[in-house]
Amino acid sequence: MSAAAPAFLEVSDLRIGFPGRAGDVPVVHGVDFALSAGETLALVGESGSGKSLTALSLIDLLPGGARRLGGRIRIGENQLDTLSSNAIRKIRGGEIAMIFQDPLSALNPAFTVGRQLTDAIRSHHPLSRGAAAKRAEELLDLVGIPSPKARLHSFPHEMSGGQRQRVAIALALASGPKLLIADEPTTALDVTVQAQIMALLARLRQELGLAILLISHNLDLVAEICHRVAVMYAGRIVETNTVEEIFRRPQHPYTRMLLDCIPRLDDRPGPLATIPGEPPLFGKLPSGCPFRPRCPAAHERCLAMPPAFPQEAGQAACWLAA
Amino acid sequence: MLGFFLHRLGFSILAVLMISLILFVLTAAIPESPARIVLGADAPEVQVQQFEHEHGLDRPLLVRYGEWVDRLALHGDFGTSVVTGLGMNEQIAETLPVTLELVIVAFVFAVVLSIALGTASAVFENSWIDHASRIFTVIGVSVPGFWTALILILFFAIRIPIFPPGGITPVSEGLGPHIMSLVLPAFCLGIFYTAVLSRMTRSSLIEVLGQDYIRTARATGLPRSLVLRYALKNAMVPVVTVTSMSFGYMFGWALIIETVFNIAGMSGSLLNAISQRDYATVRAVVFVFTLIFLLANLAADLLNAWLNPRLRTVQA
Repeated sequence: MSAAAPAFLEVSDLRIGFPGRAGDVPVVHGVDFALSAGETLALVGESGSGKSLTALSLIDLLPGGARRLGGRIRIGENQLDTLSSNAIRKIRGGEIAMIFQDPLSALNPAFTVGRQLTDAIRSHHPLSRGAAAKRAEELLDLVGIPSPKARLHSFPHEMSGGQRQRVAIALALASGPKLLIADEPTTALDVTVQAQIMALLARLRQELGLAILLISHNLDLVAEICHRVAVMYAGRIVETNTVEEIFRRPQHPYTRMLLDCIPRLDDRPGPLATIPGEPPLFGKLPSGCPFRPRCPAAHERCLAMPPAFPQEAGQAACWLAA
Repeated sequence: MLGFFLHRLGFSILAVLMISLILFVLTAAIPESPARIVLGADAPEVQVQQFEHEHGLDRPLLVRYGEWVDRLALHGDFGTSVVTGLGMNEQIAETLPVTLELVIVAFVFAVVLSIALGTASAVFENSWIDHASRIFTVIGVSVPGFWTALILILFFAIRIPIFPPGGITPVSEGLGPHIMSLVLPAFCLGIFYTAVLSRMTRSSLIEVLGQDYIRTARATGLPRSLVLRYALKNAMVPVVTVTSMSFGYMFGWALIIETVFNIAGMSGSLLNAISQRDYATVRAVVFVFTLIFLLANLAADLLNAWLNPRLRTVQA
């Protein structure tokens, strides 16, 4: 794929917040990234870094109260903020789809797998029930579910966790989206199943030319299938680079500490590495660099905001990296 | 699914048998002999014994119970009242349809309106629709039915004579007048359950709308109406159980409403039987109510198994 092709997804200066008594409390403070077809970008960070909110805002499904305070989201030809709610509905599933952490709660317990798939297909394409069922069967086959025809009549609770996540992926792919957002897709699964699901995502990216936005706190998983990584801290992207470079030459102290937290087989026995302290509460960011209170390398300059937030690979929002 | 149905059916039959035994023992254990009621309190003992012997009342309790069950199960015959000398089947055949029609009309009214109100309330949470329907439900739950009935009769039957003040106009006098005569009693009977069920529908649906699978449904781009159907099928599970019980309870409330509106339904037979200490008739009427209650519960079990497929596989 050529680097010159315009990105399919372009997010610029995205800001998200919750309304409060004294005005909006911002949670995501201006996030920029872009994603092209066939590319996989990982958004990495601790809980509360704003990565899930960023993802949900892309399909306009922010949870109760949260809302977009500013910025632009371009999906293909469409500028998200200019669309009617009906046009947004067509983009959901049709252009962007999403899979979630827990596949059991993400599938409707009262309807068969086949019914959920055909409803999703028919919401975007004027197909007969029979034709949609045929397509549903193909989708289940695509995501590697054995005897897909029989499985159409199964309910989610009759399947294993890994199979459910495959069904959730099939459901997301039902209307041929070009971008798949995967929000911690393997966190609720067994380790062996995790690898299978990641392999499936990598295969789908290749076969369908999907762009994948992977939300994760697990850098090991990210290393397996992603091209680029954007590290988020306290509602900002603090570093972005290719996977190789992030692992080889992390620029931001936070990235470095995240990498240190991954246990290695050749580590000497001893306590596991952690990042001391906790991420800051929203609306109560420290002055200067938000990571300053937890940063082992903090010095006077960090009392001022870091010089720049990364626009390009290899940049990091840190005085030391400048 | 068939196994589940047979399992539930078996339970229902067992329940009918146990209830029939309890009911028979309770009504037969009342010390006052029906003979004294028919012959008068100061009838000579010989006469009483002769009456009891003639009507088989001097035989052991279990023998009489066996005979009652046998006649009921094999011939569907409730027998004849010792006190009034009337056949109870005829009496039930005359009054049950009246009560049944009233309850069914009130029930359908309550179910349709409560689902509509509860759904609107949940979908437009905290809007004016929600507030209005919540005020309505508080009133509906707290105002006693007989009072509503009296007020409605006063305003809509006497001051503004739109509806008849009492009685059910027979269908033979025209369908229109028949329906008009059902409006006020059915409204009074249904309004309490409309309030109860719409509150339940609202809270259950609000909970379901916050579930992950509804977010998935939205994320796959389903239209709003389909998202709502996905939510409703899940939200109705707790509502269905209460709805079926409401159907049973409505027969109890119907006694009051029938009395206020002077309707010749089951309430008349039951209240007469109680005041005349005609326990065989009490037994028959209560048994009919029990059967209806159990049938409603069986229907709710089946409906729930359809709504919630996980229930079907739980049974061993």
